[in-house]
Parts: sequence; C-alpha cells; structure tokens
Amino acid sequence: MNKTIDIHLAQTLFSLDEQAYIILKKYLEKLEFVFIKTEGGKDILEDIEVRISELFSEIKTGERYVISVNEVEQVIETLGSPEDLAGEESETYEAKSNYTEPKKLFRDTDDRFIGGVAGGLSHYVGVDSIWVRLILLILFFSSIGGVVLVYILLWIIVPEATTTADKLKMKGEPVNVSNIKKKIKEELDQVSNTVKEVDYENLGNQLKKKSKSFSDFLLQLMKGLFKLAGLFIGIIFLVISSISLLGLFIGTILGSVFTAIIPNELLQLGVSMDLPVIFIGLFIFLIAGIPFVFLFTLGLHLLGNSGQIMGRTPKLLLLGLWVFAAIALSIFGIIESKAFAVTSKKSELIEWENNAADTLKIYVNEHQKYSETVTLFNDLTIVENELGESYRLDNNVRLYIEKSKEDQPGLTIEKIAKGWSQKKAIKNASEITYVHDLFNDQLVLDNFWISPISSKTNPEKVVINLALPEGKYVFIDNDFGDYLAKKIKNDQGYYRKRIAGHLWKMERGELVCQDCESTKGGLHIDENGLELNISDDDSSLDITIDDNGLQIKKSGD
Amino acid sequence: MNIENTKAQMRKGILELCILSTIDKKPKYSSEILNRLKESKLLVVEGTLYPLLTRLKNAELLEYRWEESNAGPPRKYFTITKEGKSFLKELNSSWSDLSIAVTTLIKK
Repeated sequence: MNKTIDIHLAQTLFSLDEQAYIILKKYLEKLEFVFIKTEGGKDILEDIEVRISELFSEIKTGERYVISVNEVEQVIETLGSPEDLAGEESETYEAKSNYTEPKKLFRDTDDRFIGGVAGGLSHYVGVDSIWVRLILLILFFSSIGGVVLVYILLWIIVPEATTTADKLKMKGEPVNVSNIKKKIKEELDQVSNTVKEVDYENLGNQLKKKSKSFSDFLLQLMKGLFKLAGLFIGIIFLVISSISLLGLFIGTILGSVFTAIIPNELLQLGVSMDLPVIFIGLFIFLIAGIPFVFLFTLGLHLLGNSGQIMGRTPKLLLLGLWVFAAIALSIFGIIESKAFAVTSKKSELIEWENNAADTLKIYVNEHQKYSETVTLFNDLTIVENELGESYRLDNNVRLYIEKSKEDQPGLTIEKIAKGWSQKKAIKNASEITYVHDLFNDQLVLDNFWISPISSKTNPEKVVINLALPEGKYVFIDNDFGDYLAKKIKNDQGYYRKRIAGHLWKMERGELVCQDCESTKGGLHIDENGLELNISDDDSSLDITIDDNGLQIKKSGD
Repeated sequence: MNIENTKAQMRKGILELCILSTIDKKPKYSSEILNRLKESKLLVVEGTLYPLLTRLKNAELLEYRWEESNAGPPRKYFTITKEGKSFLKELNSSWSDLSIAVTTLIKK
C-alpha cells in the first residue's frame, strides 16, 4: 500500500507515488542549484518543468494514473542528471569546481538538539557540535540565561540548510559536481532507507513538516521553546534539589554533633513537650528533604532521562514517610502552641513587721552568686548553684508602687506563669523561686528569679506590688531603676528608670519628689525608649517614646 | 583525457548552429526542437537544450512567444531573430569550412 501525492507541473495535475514524488522533488532541487546562478536560470527551470509535464502526460494513460518511481527515473534519465546538465551547462561552472565557497552559517537540522543552531555553528567554526553545546550551556549559567535570547535570535535569523547546496556551503565543502553527486547519492540513499524503514504516516508528517508555512514555523518555535524551557527548568530543579539535599545532610550532621555536645535536658528547654528534640529534627528533615528528592527525579525526567529513575515502592515509601512526618509535626505543633494557653499567678503577701520607720529604702540584689551562667538562646540563661544543680534564670522582674488603702504598707509578690492547663500554669508559677529581704526599713529585692529547668521556657514574670500609705516615704536605689514598672504616678512625671535615685513621699495618691531640683531638664535614652523631660516648680513637659508610642505630657502653665 | 567530455564539448560547439537551423524555416516549440535534435542523435539528454535556448535568447538570436495548446500547458514558440539569421549564416559558412577541413584532414 502506497500513498500518492498530487502535484501541479506546468498547470497540469499529476498523481505521483510518494517515493516517486520525493525523487522528483530532490531532482528539481538539484537542478535549481545547478541553474540558479545562470542568467535566465528561472526560465530554464520553468522549461524543464514544462518538459517533465509533457513527458508525464505521454506516460499518463488515464485520469487517475499514478506515476511510479520507475517512470520518474526514466524521465530524469531522458532529461539528464543534474551532474550532466551542470557539466554541459557552462564553463563558468566548471571553473568553480575546485573553488571552495566561503562557509555560510546555516542551521543544521540534521544535527539538531533544539533548533540546529549549535550544529550550524559547529560547522561554521569547524569543531564538533558537542563543544558548541557545552559552551552554550556554560554561557547559559554565566549569563543567567541571556544566551537564550541570542539563541532564539539566531534560530529566527539563520536560515535552515535545506538544499544540498546549502548543506555543502554550511560545511564549506567545495561545491563541485562530484561532491554534489556524492551528496545527492547520500541523500537518496537516506530517502530510500527512510521509505523502507519508517511507516508512511510518519513520513507523510515529515513531509508536511517540511512545508515551511509561517504557522508551522511558529508551532515549531513554540515546541522548541517549550523543550528549551523544560531543559532549563530541569537543570534548575537538579541544581536546587541537590544543593538543598546537601544542605539538609550537612545540617543534620551538624545538628547531631550539636545535640551530642549539649546535655539533653538543656535541649529540651526549647520545647514544652517531652518529645525528644532529635525526633523533631528528624521530622523536619523528612518533610523538607523528601520533596527535593522528587524534584531531583523530576529534573532528571525533564533533562530527557525517560527511564524509570525510582521504583514504585520507594516512591510510595517516601510519600508515606512524608505524610507521617507531616502529621506528627502538626500534632506536635498544635500541642506546642497550646502549651502557654492558660496564664496563672501565685501571689504572696509579705508581712510588714516593722513599719515604725517612715522611709522604705529599696535596694537591688544582683545575681552575682551565680557566676557560672550559660546563655543558650536569646532570653534563656542557665545557671548552676553550689550544689551543681541547673536552673533557669530570668530577669523579668517589675516593681509597681501605688497608694495603700490602709495605713500599713503592703508588699505582694506575684509569680505569673503559663501552661497548657490551669494546673500546669499554677505548677509553673509555684516553681519560680524569687528571693527578697525585708529588714527594718530596707527592702532588698533580687533582680532575677530562678525556676527548674523542667518547667521549660515560658513567658513567666515576677511582679512586686508595693502599696505605700499616705505620708510615707520611699527611696529607690539607682541600680533598681531597670526593674521599675511603667505607670508609677509621680509629680515629676518621671518615667520608670528616672524615679530611681530619689526620695519620694506618697501624697494624694502620687509620689512627690523630695529631692528633685526645681527646674530640671534632661534626655534619657535606653533600651526601653526615649524620655525627654523639662520641668520647674510650676510646670513640666514630658515627651516619651516607648512601647506605648509617643506620649506628650504637659502640666502647669 | 575523458572521451565523453570531449564528445560533449564537440556537440556543444555545434548545438547552437543546429538549434538555430531547426527554427530557421518556421517557429517551433521546444519539444519539436528536441525531437529534431534527438533524431540526429545530437542530444544525449534533453535537459541540455534549455540552458542553450535561454543563452541564445539572452544573446537575442532568438525570441519566443507563448501559444495555447490543445493538449497540456501553453507552449513556448521559438522564432529566429534578424541577428539570429545573420549569426546562423556566419555559423553555416564556418561550419562548412570546418567540416571540409576536418574531413580532408582526417581522410589523409
């Protein structure tokens, strides 16, 4: 079963056997090459076509007669082979036979990866195309893809080598009769092989492809671009996934070393649950790593590795592991996020035994007895006592001063802690150890508290409330300034730290400065914010910028 | 020395003379010219004729006009020009000179 192809020759319709068509087409292409440079070459070709048409008409017996390969070959024999015609045609042609045409740049679609640009360039430069491709690939990475534009430009501008003459020019072979003969023979052999080996539908498609209409070109361009894009995305996938996997492995190794060095109980401080940290690390490794393994195989596929890279079982296993790790880590995350859901406080009322003195002096005791401190994370400090026991140490201590409703000064210490349940929160709060010392008129407060390591990191704090009766005095040592709470009412409009270092008297619900200079001004900046204060006997202006934003306070005139 | 090549060169030299002679009496279209030349075994392959016709046309020794035909496509009818006629005359006399000269030379 053979296909037939209808052609028009000198306005006459002929049906040709497919292979006969191919031979005739090649023949006419060769003739075109022979006569194209002759004056009136077009006329010659036209005349020859007319003659072929006449000869076909003589052969053709009926309307639906299909001209065979033999008949085409006979016609070609009658008309003369391109070599015969080239030889007889002109002396100028003969003169050309030993002359090598300068190489021309064509796209070699016989040696194509994408558009045949690299193949064409390799002929032009005279090296194997693999080197050109390698250089293009290197350029792609060093120019961040800029070479892609150049490639596409070349693809569009550089013509495809379709005729024998083009192909010879492309390779810089001397364009002489024997070479053309050789080339034609090669190609005819190739054609006949193709006809023998390839199924006809496929061949028909190839022929269709060769008809270079603009839409076909666009289609091919799109196809090529997709292929190109796929290639580059594949490379990117491979690079990203291999770097990520490498990073994950290095991270895991470093993590293991880290966990081996640090005592486990300290590591566990980072999480509220008793789930070993090493498991969390493993889950994170699996969740992050497995997608990159898949990305890697996808990259290989895009690079044209069509074989099965990973079996079905390992794939399913990896997928299962990933799902398991994801679920485990989610559960862990939910529990972890609930860890501080409930806040609870434990209050302790300090008996004020000696209230004879009018002035209470507040001093600070800094945690000097814990000389060995290890700061693990930002806010987490681990200390060891004389017995070698580890504790968590925190400086989250605040002192509030307000008017007492009674005649007696009152002192309460509140330990505030959080937990995933009320019980746990109270337990956490009660585990806080905070030390104060009240002796006569001196109150010595620690600027830190400790809690057992098992209570885990936790936004705990200690709040000291001092209730001062009307008419009583209080002096706060300068060193305690950092631990004063925000809204302590005072006549100077002082803010936190500046209250320290002065003697104050409780009058009408606020502290009245006893030793402040009447006119003062100053700028104070620390980690808590900025405080600008100008004041005299009659008026004051305070500008503060802190967590609460900008505040401008003016009093008096 | 390639004998085929020599023969081709010899034929080529006199082909122009022969083509012009065939259309000297009356206009002919290319297939008619071809048949005449093939009868006299002057033409090995038909394809050779067309470049020659074109060359003669370019030298304005002949001209052609299109004529519709009953069977097949329109045909090119070739007519000899004035220049062609005088050229042919020249060629004819030189050919008879040459043929006499060559024949006598070979016979001796």
